This record gives sequence, C-alpha cells and structure tokens, in this order.
Amino acid sequence: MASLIDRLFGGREPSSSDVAKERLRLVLVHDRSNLTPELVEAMKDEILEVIARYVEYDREAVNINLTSVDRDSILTAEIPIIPDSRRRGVPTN
Amino acid sequence: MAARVITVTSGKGGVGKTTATANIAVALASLGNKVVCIDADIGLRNLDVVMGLENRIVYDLVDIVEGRAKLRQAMIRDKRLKEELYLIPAAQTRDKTAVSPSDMVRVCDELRPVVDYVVIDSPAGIERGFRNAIAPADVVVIVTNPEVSSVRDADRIIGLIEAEGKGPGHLVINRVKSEMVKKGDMLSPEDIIDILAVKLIGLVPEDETILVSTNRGLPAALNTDDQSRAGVAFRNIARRITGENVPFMPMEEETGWLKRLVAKVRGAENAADKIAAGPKPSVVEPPKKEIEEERAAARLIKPVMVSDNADGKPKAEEKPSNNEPVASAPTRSAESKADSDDEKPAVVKAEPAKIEPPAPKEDEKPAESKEVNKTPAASTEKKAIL
Repeated sequence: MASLIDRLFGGREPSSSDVAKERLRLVLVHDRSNLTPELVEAMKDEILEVIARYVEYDREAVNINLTSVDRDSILTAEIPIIPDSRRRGVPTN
Repeated sequence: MAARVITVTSGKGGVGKTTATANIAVALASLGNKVVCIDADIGLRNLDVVMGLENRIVYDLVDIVEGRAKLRQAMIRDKRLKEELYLIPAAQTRDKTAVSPSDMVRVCDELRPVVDYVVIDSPAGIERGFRNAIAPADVVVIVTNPEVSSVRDADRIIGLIEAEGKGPGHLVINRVKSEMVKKGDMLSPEDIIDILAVKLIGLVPEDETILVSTNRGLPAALNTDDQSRAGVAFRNIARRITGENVPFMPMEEETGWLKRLVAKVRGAENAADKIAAGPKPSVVEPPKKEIEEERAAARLIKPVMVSDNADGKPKAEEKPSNNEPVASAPTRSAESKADSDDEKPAVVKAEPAKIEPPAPKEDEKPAESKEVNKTPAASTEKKAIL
C-alpha cells in the first residue's frame, strides 16, 4: 500500500519489499533455469551472431530476456530486423 | 483407513518447520483424526521438546528401522489429547544416513492402514534427511518466511519436489508481520505467492504466544480456547488439509485510530446487514468456539490477502475438487478478485443490502456457515479453485 501511494505521488524510491521482490524474481529466474547471468550473456551473443548471418538487425533495440511465467523459465527475444528498404550500403545477394 | 502422509519441509532452517509440524499434527488430531508425527531430523531431534514429550522417549526412529523396537513401542502417545496423537522421535546420537528413503516409505506403509495422518518433520537442507522426509509423502507442505533467503530456498524445494513427482507443493507463509507488510517493509503474502507460483495453504502471523507455548511444550494449537492467532492459523491449515475450504484470515493488524474506525464501520454495517438481510436463512450455527477464534483473529487483522468464501465450513456436496487431497488456495488470477469481492467488504464494504446471506464477514456471527456458500462468494471460490 505504501508503495502504491509512493507511485501515485511521484517517483519516490521503491519500498524495501518491492526491492526484495524484484531481486528475488531475478535470482529465481537464474536458479530455476540453472543459467548464470554470464551464461545468459554468452547465449545472447551467440544468438545474435546467428541472426546476423541472415538479416541485419537493430543492435540498439535488441531485447533478449530470461523470465519466469509461473514456474517455467522463458527466454524471450525481441530483435527488430532492419527492412531491406532502409538498409544503406548493405550489399544484397 | 488409509493414512495420508504429510511432509513439512522448507530448505532453509529456522523458518518454523518443527513448530508447524507440531501444531498441524495437534490440530489434525483435535479434529478427530488419529495422527502420528515422525521427526526425520536424525541427530538434531527437536519435535519432542516442541511437543513436550521429551521425557518419555524410550525408542526412536532408528530403533524401528534397525529392528530394535517395534513400531508401536517407539510411538509416544500424547496423553493431553483425548484423540490419538503419537510421536516417533528421531535418534539423537546418529546421523541422517542411519535412515534411507525406502526405510521411511516402509515405516509409513506400516502406519498407513492404522492411522489417518502421518506428519513428518523434515530437516533443513536438500540432502539425505530431506530425501528421507519426502520419500513417503503424499502432500508436501513448504514453510517459508517473508524474507528473501527463505523464499529462495522454498523455490528450490518446490522445484525438487516437483522433480520427484511429489508436487505441487503447498505453501505456508509463517511469521508474517502485518505492520511491516503495510509499511512496505516486508514481502506480502501476495508477493510471495506471485513469485513462487504455488498453492497457499496457510498464513501464520508472527505471534509471541508461539514462543511461550514452545517454552511450555504445549503446541499453540493444543488449546482451542486460547487467543493465539498463530494457533488459529495452524488449526485452519489442518482443516484445509482435511479438505475443508477455510478462508484465509487477513493478516493486517488494526491499531489505534484505524482500528477504532474500522470497528465503528463494522458495527454500523452489521446492524444494516441484519436489517437488510431480513430473516436469516436457516443456518447451522458453527461451534461457538470456532466463531470466537475467527473473531479474535479478525479483530486483529484486516484484509491484505486473498479470501475464498465467507465461512470455512466444509461442504462436500459443493466442493468442486472433492477428490483433491488438499483444499487449494485461490489461484493468483482469482485471488485479486476474491480479495476485492469478498474479504474487503468486511472493512470497506459499500454495497449494503444484498439480499442473500450477509456478505462474508468475520464479525457476522452465526451466518457464517453452510448456507453462505450458496452465495456469489461461493462461486467466486469455485472459480478460484478451478
């Protein structure tokens, strides 16, 4: 409740329970999938490497995340592909 | 008889497993069941002192397993209850390897035909002792506290018991301090359920009477007349284990001006309800004691959580999940709905005169019983369970 009021009356710092919840979420995602943050980073790099072989994507807008839904870990990847028309100086085959 | 074996575990130590085991066992017994508790914490036995039976130990679990004693000989009867409650203590001078998971299954199989419930107190950790404790389990109860380390460990345990085919686990959140939750300084029950995505079977408030009763070796749930909120919460857990639909008591303590205000509002509401509801449908009055307990609890707390229906009496004919062993807590999605629809009205209720039985309310006395379930509240709850 306190946190709700904080939110309503403009960005005061989150309550300690909010912080606890977020920290737990994060740590449990890694616990459940048995993937350390380093491994997730390595996996992201490799995924992007593969993607780059086929299309050009917007590096700034890439969003790859490990999340939990109920008790299942889900890897979501949002990788905006730059359309052909917008490409500049990219050789096409 | 075919007993159900309930294992109480947690991963992390010190969250109240042994206290929960003792109280659930006592509460199950006082509901008229024949109960045996087993302390599976070989080498660090404690269930005996918490239950106040430490002076009567002759044989222990390892003696049974190694054939030095018959099962019966190691079962210590708690004579304070007229119902049958027994303890099989752990050995103090041995370690966890003295017992194997198959030993535990064998001991429990021997007990199954002759008792109603076997309640096993698991040691902390996820090693041998934990494996021993969950091997015979039909239902696993996971105890956690509202803080990060025990919630994290609970998550690990939930994963392990699912992997063992013993899931889904049933969660007890112990030592909830409503004042701190209110201030945003303690994970709320909703937060924890949200994170762990598991069924809730009990919410136990932080309660000093637990320490007092442990000092005396009298589990808080033993005395059904007392005002121990934790004792009430443990008795509610036991009732849920037996398949009853017991609403979750809201956890927040009302203090000072707020309490007085709420009391006033409630008083006015009750009066209005009585008039609005007209003659009450013929309701079966729950035992007076029960009402007093619920009221005592309700006076001290106000909704943060979840509630299903108004009353908490069993209704076999309506229960959708009849063959489901343990009454499910509302699922997450239904929860918020139930929260706003049912429980809150006790405090904030604005819509007055609904015709049917008075809206679920802790303060509303005899109305809390079978009939109430046929109201919309009951249907909400059904959805929740489905």
